Amino acid sequence: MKVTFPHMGNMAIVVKALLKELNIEFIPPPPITKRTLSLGVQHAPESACLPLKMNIGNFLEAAEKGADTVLMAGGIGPCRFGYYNQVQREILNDLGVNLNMIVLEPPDNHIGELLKRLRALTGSNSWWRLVKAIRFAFAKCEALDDLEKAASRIRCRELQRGDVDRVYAQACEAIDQTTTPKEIEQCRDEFLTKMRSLPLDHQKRPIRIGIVGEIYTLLEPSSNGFMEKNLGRLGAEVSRSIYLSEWVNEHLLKGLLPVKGHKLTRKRAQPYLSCMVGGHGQESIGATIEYAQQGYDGVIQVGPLTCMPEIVAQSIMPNVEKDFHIPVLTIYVDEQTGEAGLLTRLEAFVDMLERRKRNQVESGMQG
Amino acid sequence: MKITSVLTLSPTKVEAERPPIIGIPRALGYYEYLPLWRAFFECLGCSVVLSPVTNKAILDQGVRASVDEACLPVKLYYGHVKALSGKTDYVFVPRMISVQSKTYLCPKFLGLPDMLRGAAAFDSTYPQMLVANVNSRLSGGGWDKALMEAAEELGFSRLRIREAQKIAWKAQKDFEHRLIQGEYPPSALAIWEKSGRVLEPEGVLPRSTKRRESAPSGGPRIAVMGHSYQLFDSFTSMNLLARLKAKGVRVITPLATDDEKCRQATRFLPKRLFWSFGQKLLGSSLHLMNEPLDGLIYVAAFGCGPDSMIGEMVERHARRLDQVPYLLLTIDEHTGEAGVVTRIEAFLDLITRRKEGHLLSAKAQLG
Ligand code: SF4
Ligand code: SF4
Repeated sequence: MKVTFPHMGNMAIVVKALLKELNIEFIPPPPITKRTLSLGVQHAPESACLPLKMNIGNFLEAAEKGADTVLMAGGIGPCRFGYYNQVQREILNDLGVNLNMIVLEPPDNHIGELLKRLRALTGSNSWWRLVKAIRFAFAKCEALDDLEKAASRIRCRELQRGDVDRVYAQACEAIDQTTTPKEIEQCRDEFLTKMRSLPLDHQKRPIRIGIVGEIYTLLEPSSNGFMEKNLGRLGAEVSRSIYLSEWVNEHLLKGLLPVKGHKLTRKRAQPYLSCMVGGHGQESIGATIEYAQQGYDGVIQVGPLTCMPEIVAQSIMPNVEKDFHIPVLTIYVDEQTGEAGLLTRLEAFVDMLERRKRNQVESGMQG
Repeated sequence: MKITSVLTLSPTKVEAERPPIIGIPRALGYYEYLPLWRAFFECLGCSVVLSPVTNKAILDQGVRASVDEACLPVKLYYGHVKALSGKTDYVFVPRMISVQSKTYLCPKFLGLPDMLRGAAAFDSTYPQMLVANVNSRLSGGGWDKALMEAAEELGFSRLRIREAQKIAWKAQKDFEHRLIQGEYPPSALAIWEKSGRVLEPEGVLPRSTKRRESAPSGGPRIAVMGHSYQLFDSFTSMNLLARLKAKGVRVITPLATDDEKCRQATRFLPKRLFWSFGQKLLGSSLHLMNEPLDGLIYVAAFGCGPDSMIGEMVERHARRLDQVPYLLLTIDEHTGEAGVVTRIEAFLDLITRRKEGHLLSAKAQLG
């Protein structure tokens, strides 16, 4: 059995850690390139949302390298994601690509169900070993999140363009190499220090932007035109409503681990969106409110074109904008979205926020 | 900030004044649940007003009121709700979360009342809305609970409400029975498009007195698949059904396949579909493909999540069987009638040629 999995941000490093601990052979999909996307676009239904297409690209490229099994997350509705694997199976089937699919559905009740499903994968490994492997992989996940958060916060202050991203890339590489929980921690601290000791503009008072939206386009930089990096370079401090460890914990582990979840965020959305709508629709509304309350200057909502939960959230966003006085820019991406076009929109938004902030400061001084 | 809650009417009002006028938008759930809704409210003594048949003005209203990315059926819903303003005390806007246990409707159905409420906060011309959650995932949380809640808000007594529910279900069951019997859905629905049906001596019509609308025999047998609000709104479907019938086509719609047959037809799939109507679409398509069928037309809403997945499944199965010609019509507000007509004609030509071809080859084999 040679296991592969879809890319989503730093997910590959985490899954690799899990599989290595369990002594399972794996073939990670090659990094996402133009070819990955065009393979996906060629074989997936045109009207499918972007993540499905990217997944197909990943699977096909991994199969070329010899993978024979896919490990992926599932869902039980109401959004398309829960039905991805069924459609993907049919597509691969028609292409004559033999990939066995192991789908980790979010457990209905408790973690035992997930462990049982993982059993299909783990074979002779003991429960204890499985739990240990999950914890190890999750520790990597959290470390990566810390590094990513730090990078998005300080990128706007770098004096030498590209410094932060260079160190961040090294950090991911190094975390990938770690083999014990202790090493993970050391590695994280080492690189956080490294990042902070880069030549930075500590005087800068940057505008702050929160990014909310659909999970895949939030987590996978290649799908959102490297939005965080570009916003940082345009001079904005950036934070994101959801990080990988939170998604893994909430979606797969059913909140087993003591990590900050989004219960409260969803609750904040209630007066506007009283019902869960699948995906991260409620989180998008709730997180926008939270960002406004924390004094952020603006919010960007991102999602794949035709993303249903985000369309619901987008429809309600004007009310949040008005009640909490925070500008929101909604950006949908698909295979035709170019980084250059996106950059123009980001520039305009950052400009607007900076002007707005200056005006507020000035009128504040007069008043 | 004021968030308009569902209702503000005090219970005593009903006794004091005339019972309220209830508006029903001729969109989305209307095509499947009108008999239930109308009979229910009329039995309570309310008068029921329907929004006009979809027209250009309603479309324009809807397009203006909603976000660009929403699907056409949702845009139309906005338009129909607005068309009722000034004509009703309340517009009935059920939040259809789930109408069958363990299933969902699409995220936009779940968010719809909130989306409308959001829009109404900016636009005082929206009518007052009567919202109630329909959630069959919760035990005892289906239509009965929703109607009970709605009517209690209006100030009716439980006893009276239960009585009305009984009659309403009789009406609904009769309607569904007719559909399964193969009655042409628009004519089964037409009975309920006039007011006062429940007051007629026979109350709910005895079953199937009306002859089944048998289209001319011998014409091609074509399955027309799609959400009912897509197929039966003749404005959005470009009058597709009538056009086909005029050409002598025997049209079959998904409503004519019962749940059991749908389940049988999809049993071989590893994963059950969690959208209730989606399950009907997929099950019905697969079921009909196993019968003699000359073609299948799938009418999808542009940007529709479920259609993108189900349409793909259906198409792949149709192609694999290589017996059932498949036509996908994707419709949005920019779709031109002429284009649709041309494509239908080409499709019918193809079917005729195939049939002749089969005849010829059969003859050749005989001779
Ligand atoms: S949340 Fe959006 S991107 Fe994800 S499956 Fe649903 S529609 Fe597709
Ligand atoms: S099922 Fe499709 S057409 Fe219907 S509301 Fe949802 S997205 Fe729109």
